[in-house]
Amino acid sequence: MSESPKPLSPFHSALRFMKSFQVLVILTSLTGLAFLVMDGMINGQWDLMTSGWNNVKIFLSETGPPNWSVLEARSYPTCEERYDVFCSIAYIGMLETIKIAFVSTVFGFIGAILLSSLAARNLSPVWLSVSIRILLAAMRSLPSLLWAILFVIVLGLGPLPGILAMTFYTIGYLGKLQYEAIEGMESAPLEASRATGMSRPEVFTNVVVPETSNHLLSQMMFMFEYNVRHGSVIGIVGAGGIGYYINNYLQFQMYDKVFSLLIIIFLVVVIIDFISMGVRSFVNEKGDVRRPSWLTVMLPGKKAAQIHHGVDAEDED
Amino acid sequence: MKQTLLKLKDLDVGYSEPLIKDINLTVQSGEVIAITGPSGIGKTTLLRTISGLVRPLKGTVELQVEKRGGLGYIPQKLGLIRHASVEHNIALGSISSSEKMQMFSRIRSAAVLGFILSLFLSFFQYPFGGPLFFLCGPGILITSVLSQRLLHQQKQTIVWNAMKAVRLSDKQHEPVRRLSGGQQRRVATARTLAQSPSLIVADEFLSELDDTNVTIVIEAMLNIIKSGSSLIMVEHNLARAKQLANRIWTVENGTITEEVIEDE
Repeated sequence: MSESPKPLSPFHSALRFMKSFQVLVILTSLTGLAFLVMDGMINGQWDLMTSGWNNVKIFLSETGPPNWSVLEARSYPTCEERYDVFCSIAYIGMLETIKIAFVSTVFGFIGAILLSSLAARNLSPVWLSVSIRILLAAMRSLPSLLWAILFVIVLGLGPLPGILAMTFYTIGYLGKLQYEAIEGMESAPLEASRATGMSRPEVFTNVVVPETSNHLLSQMMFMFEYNVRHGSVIGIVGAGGIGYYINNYLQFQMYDKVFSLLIIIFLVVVIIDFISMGVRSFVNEKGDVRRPSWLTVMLPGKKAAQIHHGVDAEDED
Repeated sequence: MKQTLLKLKDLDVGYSEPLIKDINLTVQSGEVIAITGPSGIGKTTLLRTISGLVRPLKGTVELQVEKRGGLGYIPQKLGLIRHASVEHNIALGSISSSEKMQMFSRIRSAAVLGFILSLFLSFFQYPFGGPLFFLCGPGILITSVLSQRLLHQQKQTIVWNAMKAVRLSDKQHEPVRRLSGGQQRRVATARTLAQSPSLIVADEFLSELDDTNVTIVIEAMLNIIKSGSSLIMVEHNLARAKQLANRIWTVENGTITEEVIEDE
C-alpha cells in the first residue's frame, strides 16, 4: 500500500506558501525598512532629490568638457623625454600613484597572508585566531586616509607616508578577505594533508595557497585597484600621487582639469580589472567552459545549441 | 614477522553521541581490512578517528607508525587541489614520504633561514654582520641551492613512479579539475603511493569507478601492501571486499563484528 503524505494544518500550509515567496518578502521588507530609516534621517525632504538634479546640471556645465592640457608637458622643469606626455602632470601623478599602490599592495599582501594564515579558524587554535583577528580589525578600523594623516604628521609630506598608510590598511582589509577565503575552502584537502603529518607551514604553502589561489589573486588585484583609487584620495593630505594634483586643481576651482584626471583614474581602474581577469584565468575554470554569447542568449534554444555546440539540434530530436 | 600497526581499545566514535561503541580491534602489517555497513552508520567517522581528525569519545587509538608520513588518508571527497596539476597533487604525498626527503627539506630550510639572517644582519650593519655575510653567505646559498636540487630530484623520481603506477604519466601537467572522476581517484591513490605510508586509510576509494579504473587502482594498492603496508578501506561491494580483504569489519547497530576471510 502506498503511503500518502500527511496533510498539513492550515497554519503550516500558509507558512509553506509564504516560504515560496521568502526572497521577495525579505527583499521588500528590507527595502521598505531602508526607506523608512532614510525618511527619518532626511526629515521627509524628498524634494531635495529633484532640486539636487539642477545642481548636477550646473556642476556638469562648469566642469565639462574635460581639459586635456593635463596630458601636456609641464612648463617647468624642462621636458627631456621623447614624448611630452611623459612630462605631464597626469602621467607623473598617475605613475606615482601606481607605484605607491604597487609597493603597498605587495607589502600589504605579504603581511596579510602571514597574518591571515594565523587568523583562519581551520588552521589555527582559537586563542591565536581571535588575537590576530583583533589586530586586523584594529588595522582596518582606521581608513587609509586617517593612516595617511598620522604618517604625514610623523614622517612629513611625500610618498613614504602614503605607502605606509596604504600598507597598514591593506594588511587589515586584505587579511580579513583572505582568512574568510581560507575558512571557506573545502575541508577534504586539509584533512588529507593533516592526516599525513604535514606541518602547519607545509599545509599552508602546499595546500591552502594553491587551493585558494583564485580568491587570493582576485583579492590582491582588487586591493591594487582599491589602492590606486585611494592613492588619489590620500594624495589630498599630502601623501603624494595624483591626488596631490587633484587637490591643487580643486583649490583653484579648475574642475575641468579635475574631471580629466578622474577620467584617467577610471581608465587605469578598468585596465587593472582586465589584467586581473587575465591573471585569474590561470587558476579558475573560465577557460574550460564555453560562455554563452549575446547572440545565443537571444536565439531560440535549438538554434542556440546549433551555434554554441556545433550540433545539429534537428538530429538530436 | 608481522607487526601491529593499529590498536583500537574500548573505542567509542561519534561526534556528540557515539555512533559505534566498544571497538576492540587490531591491524597487522600487510593486512587489508574492509569496512562494510549501511550509509550514515559511522564508517567515515571511524576512519577519521583513526586518522586523528576526530577525537574519540572514549577509549584509545594506538597508532604504531611514523608520526610524519606513516599514515595515508584518502577522504571520500579525495581532497585534491582542483586548480593544481596532477604532478603537484601527487607531490603532496612525497613531502612527508622518506627520511631522505625530510633530511633534505630540513637542510634547505636551515640554509634559507641562515641566508636571510646573515643578509638581515649585514643590511643593518650589526656588529660582525657584514663580515659574517661575506664569510658565510655564499656557502649557505650554495648549500640551500644544492639541497633544493637534491630534494627536487628525489621528489621527481617518487612522483614519476607513483604516476606510472596509476597510468597517469601522460597527464602530468593537466589541472585536476579537467580529469574525469575515475582519473581523479587515481590521482588520490598516486598521492598516497608517493607518500608510501605504513597504514593507508581509504574512504570508498573504489566507488564510482569503472572496471578498468578499479583494476588500475587495486593493482597499485596491492603493490604497496606487498611491501608491508596495511589498508583499511570502506567498501560497499561485499563481493569485492571479500576478494581483496583479509578481514571484514561489519558495522551494524552501533557495534562492529569481525569476519576473517580464509585464503583460497
